[in-house]
This record gives sequence, structure tokens and C-alpha cells, in this order.
Amino acid sequence: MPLILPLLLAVVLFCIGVYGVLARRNLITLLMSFELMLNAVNLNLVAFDAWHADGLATGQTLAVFVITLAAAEIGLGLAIVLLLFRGHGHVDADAARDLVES
Amino acid sequence: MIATAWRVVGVGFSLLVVLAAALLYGVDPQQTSSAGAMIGEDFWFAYEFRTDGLTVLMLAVVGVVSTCVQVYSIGYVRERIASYTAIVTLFTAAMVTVVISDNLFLLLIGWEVMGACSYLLIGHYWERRDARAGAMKAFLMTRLADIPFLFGIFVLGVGYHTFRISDLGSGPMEPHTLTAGTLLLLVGVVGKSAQVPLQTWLPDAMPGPSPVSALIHAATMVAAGVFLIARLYDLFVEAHTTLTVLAVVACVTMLFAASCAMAAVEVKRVLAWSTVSQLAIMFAGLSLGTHDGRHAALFHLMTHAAFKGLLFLCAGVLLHQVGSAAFVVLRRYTRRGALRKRMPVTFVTMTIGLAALAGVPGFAGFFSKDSVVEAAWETARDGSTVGWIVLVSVCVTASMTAFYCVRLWLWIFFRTPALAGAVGAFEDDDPMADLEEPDARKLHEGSWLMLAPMILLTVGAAGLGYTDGVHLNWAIALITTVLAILGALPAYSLWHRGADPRPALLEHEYGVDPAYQRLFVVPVRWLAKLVVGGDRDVIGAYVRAAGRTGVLASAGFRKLQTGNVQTYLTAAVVGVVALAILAGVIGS
Repeated sequence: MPLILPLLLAVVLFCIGVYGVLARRNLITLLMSFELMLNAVNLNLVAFDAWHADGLATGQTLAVFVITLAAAEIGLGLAIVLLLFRGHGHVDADAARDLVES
Repeated sequence: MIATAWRVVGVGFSLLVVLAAALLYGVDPQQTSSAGAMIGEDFWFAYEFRTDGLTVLMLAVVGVVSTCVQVYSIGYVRERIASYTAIVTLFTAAMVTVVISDNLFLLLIGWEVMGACSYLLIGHYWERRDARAGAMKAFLMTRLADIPFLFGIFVLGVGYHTFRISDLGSGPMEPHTLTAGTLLLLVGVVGKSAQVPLQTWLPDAMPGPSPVSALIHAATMVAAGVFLIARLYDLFVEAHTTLTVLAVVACVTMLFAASCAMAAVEVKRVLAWSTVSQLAIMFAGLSLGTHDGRHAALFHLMTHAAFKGLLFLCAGVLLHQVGSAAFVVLRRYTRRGALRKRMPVTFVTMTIGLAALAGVPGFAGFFSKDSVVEAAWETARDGSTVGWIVLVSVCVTASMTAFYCVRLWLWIFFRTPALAGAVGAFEDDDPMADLEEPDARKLHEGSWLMLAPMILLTVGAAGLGYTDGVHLNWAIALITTVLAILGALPAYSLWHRGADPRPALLEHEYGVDPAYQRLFVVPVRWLAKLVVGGDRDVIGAYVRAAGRTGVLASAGFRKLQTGNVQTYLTAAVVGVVALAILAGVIGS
């Protein structure tokens, strides 16, 4: 399989992620978009590993690291979202402006 | 616990000083030097010490008086014991440093530490305004005098190419430089020993605890001035101008202080002025420039340490038991004859102390004062004007001393027959005149911790006069005795009639304090206000302007902080993309 196909897929995934992070208001969607971006990176890593074939599988190793990291991150993120919901009764990124400089 | 530890340290250290004096007694003069460093190309600085007869004498005086004071303080001081005892110990240590040092700068260190300690101790009762003011005054006046003192050290040290005291005086020296150097040192001495014109701090230092007054007046601080001149006597003898100035200062001071003591209405203030006056007698002895004069001055220093320390400790008992040492308050007890009967030990010891101060034949002060008079007479006989001035002044002062001693003794301890139980001449300054009669039965003698040092010093005040080998000049002894009686008689007759005329001039101590107030304090306050104004309105204005500029500049940036996370993220992404494009453009 040519390298360009997985890379294109990764670009599409990443852009969807960026769009989700910057444009959506629901914080859960925001977290899902983060996951999309991370997985785009994972795809990149695996694709380049297959293409490079150095025998050490460094790209795959790194991908496993990123998956672990993503799991930790989503745990923290969900905790924050949960606290926000408990405190404010919503999960709206636009409305959570407690740190605004007034 | 910590207070007890400090008390042990304090008494132990004082005893150690006494022990050192005892061990060094009779040992040949020694000089030791250790751990030094070269400063510049010419000057060698080191911890240099010396022990000779003068050192041993001073160590003994300092050690005995500070032991007495430390033991007495155990019974006297009730609050802030640890810090008090620590500072008294440091005070003693500083005086010991001055006494044993063989280096002008080492001496200066002890000298300055004493100034700081006296400030702290005079302000021991810092809740009281007069104690705070007195402490500040003492510190400022002695500091003021210490600046010329420092420059005197520079002049002498650079002139002789050494700061080692035992090497000073060797080698050629310009007479003018020597005069300048000794005169500058003399300013420091005048400040430390409270001589005219820097005399006003010592009477105002009286709000301090009485044992501290005893220490300051008897062994440390004021005695340091006399010690310094005795230590550098070879230099001072060479500088005739300095000695003449010293003689004039001493004579003016002894008359001034004695006349102030004659009108003071508080026991400690009388004693303070008498210290100034007695110190002036020592300086007068030194100013004669003869070996006998120096000897007489040091003899007087030693006896004075005993009886003045004793008198302050007695005054401390009065203060401790009665609550005040003002004549008027003491009279309220005395008119019933209570003071004497309730405090027999204090009465007897104070009587002996006052007898020694007044120069009653047989007591210590009599012999030492006579030796000053004798030394002055020896000089005067050789046709020296200074000798005559000193002779006349000391004689007049002896008379005045007898007057204020008898006045003090009679008024505070004896009922006045003519007044039939009234307070008498001091009624006018009685703030408690309307209060009911104080309960004399509550009056007690001080504790034995306080009485034991007093008794020890009483022995000194009675017997120290015989230590110098009695070589009495009968004519002089007769004259001074007659003079003392001449002073005592008016005091007795005034007391007998129940009158105490106090000339306003003397009562206000010649108006020196108000004059200093107008001449120095008020201008300095103005200057301080000017400086405060400059700080607040000029320098402060720049600081505030700098702060406001920052606030104004940041006002625009503050709008960027919307609180919306996505806005920040967008900015970050745009920034990253922009950087990436920039990197691409530059890279290609």
C-alpha cells in the first residue's frame, strides 16, 4: 500500500479533530475531537513505521505510548468536565468563562 | 529556664573577669597578638591584647561591679530577664574588650558595642516614653561623639603607621597632627563620659533599671572615657593643647554638674549629676599631665566605682520598695520616720556611700579626692595655670558635693522637726498630694540577693581608700575637710528650717536641654520632614508613575483574556500555522 493513503486519512482525521476542538461547544465533543487528533498521530506513526521498517518497531512502540497517554488524558478531561457539570449544571465551553479578565 | 541559664552565664562571666584580674595581678606586662591580616601596604591588623597594671585594675573594677550588679539584678529585674541579663553580660564583655585590647580598632569595637548595649538597657522599660527618649538620646549623643573619635583613631594610626596602642608614641610625630588626633579622641571621650557640652544624656538615662545605672556609672561606659585617656596618656601628655582643653572641660563640667545635683529632686538624678561631676574630677586629675595626676585619677575611678555603684543599688532598693525615687514620694514615708526604720540595711549602706561621695574623712572618696587635690597642688606650685584652675575647681566641687550629699541624706531619711510631719519643700511637685497617706507598714527591706552586693560594695566604699597606702598630706586633708563641712552646714541648716530653695536656673539645669532642642532637635526634625516629603512626593512620584504606566499599557492586552478556552486555542493554532508557514518560507 502506498504511504500516501494512510497519511491522507490521518490529515483528514486531524483536521476534523481541529475543527471539533475549535468550533464545537459541547465539552464532551471537544474531548472526542482531541482523541481524533491523537489517533491521527497514531496512524501517522504506524504508517511511517511500516514504511521505514527498521526492525525495532519504534513507531509502533510510540503509538502504544500515545494510546496510554490518551487514556490518561481522557480520564482527567472527563473528571474536569464532570466537575464543571456538577458546579455549573452544563458542559458548554462558551459559557465556562470564570477566568475572564473583567 | 532560659532566664536562669542566662543568670548563671552572667554571674559566671563576671566572676571569670574577677578571676582573670586576680590571676593577672602582679604578672609582668604582656602583649599578645594573633591571627592578623595586612591591610593595604602599611597596616597590620590583628587581635592584639595587653595586660598591665591598668588592665588589671580595670578588670578588677569591672568584674566586681558587674558581679554585684548581676547578683542584684536577680532580685531586682522582674520582666524580660533573659534579654536583660544577656545584654548586661555583653556590656561587661565589651568593657573587658576595651580594657584588654592593644589595638585601636579592637578598642573601638568594644567602645561601640557598649554604646549599643547602653541604648538597649536604658530602654529596658520601653513601655515608658521617658525610657525610650532617654535611650535614644544616649545613643545619639554618644554616636555623635564617636564620629570624631573614629577620625582621631585614623589620624593617630596613620601618623604613627600603626594601630597598635603599645607602639603609638614611638617615632617622630608632627605636633599638630598629634594635637589634632588627641583632640578628636577627646571628643569621643567627652561624649562617652558625659562631659560638657555632651552631658545631658546621662541624667536622662535614669529611667533605665537601677542596676544598669550602677553598671554604667561605676564600671563601664562612662569609666571607659577615663580609661582611654589613661591608656593613651603618653600621647595626651605630649599634646599640651589637648590637656588644656581637657582641663577646661573638666572644670566647667564638675561645677556645672555639681550645681545641677544641688537642685535635683530625684535621688537617681542627683546621683547621675554627681557621676558627671566626679568623672570631671578624674579628668581634671588626668589633665594635669603628671604621673601623680594619672595615678590620682585612676584611684578616684576605683573608689568612685565602689561608692557610686553602691549608691545606685541603694536607690534601686528605694525604687523597688517605694516605687519611686523622687524626693517628694520618699518624704511621704519619711515624715513618719518609716523609711529609716523599715530599711535599716539600705539606710546604713547608703549613708556610707554618701559619706564616701561627700569625702568624709576615713572613707574612700576622701582619700582619692585628696590625691587629686594633692596632684593639682603639686602642679600649681610649679606655676601652672591649669594646676591652679583644677585645684580651685576641685575644692569648690568638693564643697558642693558635700552639700548635695547631706541634702539628699537628710531629706530622704529624716523627719524635719520644723515641718512637723509635712512633706515640706517638695510639696509643690507632689502629684499625689491629695491621695491618702501611704501605708508605711507595707515597706520592706530588699531581698538578700539585693543586699549582699550592697554590703560588699559598702566594704569597698569604706575601705578602698586605704589600698593606695595612706600617705596623707595633712594640710590638704584639713582644707578639704573644712570645705566639706562648709558645704554640709548650709544643707543642714536649710533642712532644719524645712526649706529647699532651688534657683530656677539650676532646676532647669541651665536651660541646656531646651537650647539643644531649639538648636539641633528642631532643625533635624525639619530636615527629616523635608526628607520624608522628598521621598514621598519626588521619588515616590516616579515609582508610582512607573506602576501606572504598566497598568495603562496592560489595559489593552487585558481585553484579550476572554475566558473562552477555544479562543485561546484558536490563537495558538493560528500561531503554530503561521510559524510553520514562516519556517517553510525561510527554509525554502
